[in-house]
This record gives sequence, C-alpha cells and structure tokens, in this order.
Amino acid sequence: MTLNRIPHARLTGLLASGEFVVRIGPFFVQLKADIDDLAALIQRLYGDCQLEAPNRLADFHLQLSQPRNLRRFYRPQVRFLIDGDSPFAPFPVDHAFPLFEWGLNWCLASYSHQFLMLHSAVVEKNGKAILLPAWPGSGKSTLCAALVHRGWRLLSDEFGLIRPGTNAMIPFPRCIPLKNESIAILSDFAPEAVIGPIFPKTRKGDVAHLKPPAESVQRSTELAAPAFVIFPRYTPGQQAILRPLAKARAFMKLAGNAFNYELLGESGFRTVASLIHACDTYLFHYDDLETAVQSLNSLVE
Amino acid sequence: MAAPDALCWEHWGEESVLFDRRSGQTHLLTALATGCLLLLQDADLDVDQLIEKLRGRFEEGPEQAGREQIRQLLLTLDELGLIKAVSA
Repeated sequence: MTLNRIPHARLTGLLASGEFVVRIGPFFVQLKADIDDLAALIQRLYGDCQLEAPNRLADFHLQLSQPRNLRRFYRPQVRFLIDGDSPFAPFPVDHAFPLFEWGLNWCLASYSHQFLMLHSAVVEKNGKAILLPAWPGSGKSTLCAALVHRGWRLLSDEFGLIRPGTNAMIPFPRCIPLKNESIAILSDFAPEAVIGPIFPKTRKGDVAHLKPPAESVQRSTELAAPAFVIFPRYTPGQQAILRPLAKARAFMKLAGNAFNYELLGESGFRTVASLIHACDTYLFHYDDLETAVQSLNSLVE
Repeated sequence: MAAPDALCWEHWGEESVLFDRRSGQTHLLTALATGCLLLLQDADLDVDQLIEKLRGRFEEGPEQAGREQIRQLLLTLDELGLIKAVSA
C-alpha cells in the first residue's frame, strides 16, 4: 500500500513505534520518529512510495528523536540516529525532515558500496538515460527538477546508482532539494509541482523539497540504459550549448565526483569505463530552463 | 615499466585512462604519454630510442615537443610509479 492511502493517525503510530518501513528505490528504510508534523510531511512528499511490512528486513534502521534534556523546553532539537548511533550534531526540531534527507544521504554514501555511487542526477526519456554529474552550485537539482516536470522520468537527483559489472542505472526517486532562489524559479516553471515547506537558514541556505513524480516512483524497479553523460553548469547570460567532451576527460570528471570510485578499485574503473563507452559525453552550459530542457529533448527525440 | 598485468587501459581517440592495480590510482594520459608507456611495455628504451620509435606513431614527430619534454614526461611517469629508471 502506498503511504498516501494510509490514514494519518496510523502512519503517525507506525512512525512512533518504529514499525514504519518504506521502500525508496532499491532500499528499504525503517524509521522511528515521534516528531510533530513529520508524518504529514512524509505522507505528502513520499506519498507514492510503498509501505512495507514492519518485519521487513531493512537496509537502514533510522531514528529521529528529541534529546531528553532541558533543551527540549528551549529551542528543542532533533537527533538523527542509525543503529542507535548519532553520527552528527542535532538540528532544530522543526528541521527534522531535511535532517532525515541528509541523514539518509550520509547512510547511503557511507554504507552502500554494493553500488558505484555517482554524484549525479539521472533522468530518462524514450528509453535513454542522461547522467548529469555535477558539484554543488552547478544548478544540477534545478535542471533535474525542470526535466522531470517536462516529461522526463526521475531516477535520481543526487545518487547515480549502478551495480559494478552492469550497465544499467538503478532508479532511486527521492525528493529533490531546491535551494534559495531555485525554489521560486521552479515554482514558476512548474506551478503543478508539489513542493514542501521552506526550511530557512539551513547550512545550505533556504531549502524546500520537491515531491518525486508519481510515475517515476511507480517505475522505480525499472532500470534505464545510459546514453549520455552531460556535465551541466548554470551560467547566467549563456545560451544553452552542448559541447562534446573527450571521453577520457569525461571519464576522469565522472570518476572524480563519485562517492566511492576509489573504494571500489578496479571494479569502479571498469564500471565507469563501461558507462563512458556506452554514452556520448558533453559539457552543457545553460541559463534559461525552458531552452535547457529543449536542448536535452533534442538528444533523445 | 610496471608489469603489464598491473595496469588496466582504456583508450579513447588519442587519450587514454590507466588504472594502476598496485596503487589504486587512475591516470589520464595524453597521446604522447600513452605512446611512451606502450613502447616501454615492450622494451627498455633511452630517450633517443624512444623519440625514434615515437616518430613512426605520430603524424607530427615527438621531436616537435622536444627532447626535454620527453625527458620531463619520463620523470613524471617515474614519480607516478609507472616506469622505473634502469642502468644501461
């Protein structure tokens, strides 16, 4: 059953008791939390995900809890725990949702080495997947959000997942975090987009989360063949332009921004090589989102 | 030259990417560096022998780059552990 079909009170109860297990892409995530309003936000933004049986073996056992100290009366906080350990400092309690998102990112990057994890958005149209690897600040998430609201399937905004030795991208459709001015830009670009509340003054500025499209979530077991590796860069005043990038250089850029390329050793090398062989590789500078989408559409139509 | 089975190659056009199994490092190699390494894989060569053999591989001979550039390239490859100087 999907989360949006579960009565709110039951979902709150499942979260409070730690019997909440949800499937997101290839991962099963168990979460225990007794934070006000969190259930409603999870239901709103992850409503198309499947609730799993409470005894389902989970990849990650997570908890969001309020420390039982005097701070709970003055500027209350929330801690993120995995297997009972708290890997980073608490957040203000009203930032529980972004803490869950970042905490889950941390868990994946730290433990999921059965995959080569590329720091890359991945979208697909007409059976052709585009990898959009980029460092923070390049406009990757905004471009990815724009594409999925113009008919592209979202595989991932942050983690390009591929099993070593294979050549198919694994969907991991999660919320897309929009930052600062991107929130208003995307709201104007796609008025139908479901965007959660703005969390002000996080370490990345103001952040709001875009709900992954229902169809992308429903197709989250459907792998996609990579056809293009495109390094995007938002460049104010620059007309959208795709410039071919030599494959050996694309290899180094792609491997260089993976979460665990070096850790995987030779299998990481061979997997990236296989991707580069299968794809055309470009640098992409753009300013206007609509023209950027048209440029990428032209590659797959 | 590192033992051939220590290295994994991928070639695209004139450039190559090389994975060194011993160090776990990945190197981006120019056409010239690729040519030098592949020749040194077959035999020990000094700079002049290398230049002579490279001439046949490039439309513009490596002498265009200069003997000093080849010598510097060999030093870099040595520092990366991809080749090792041997006495004549």
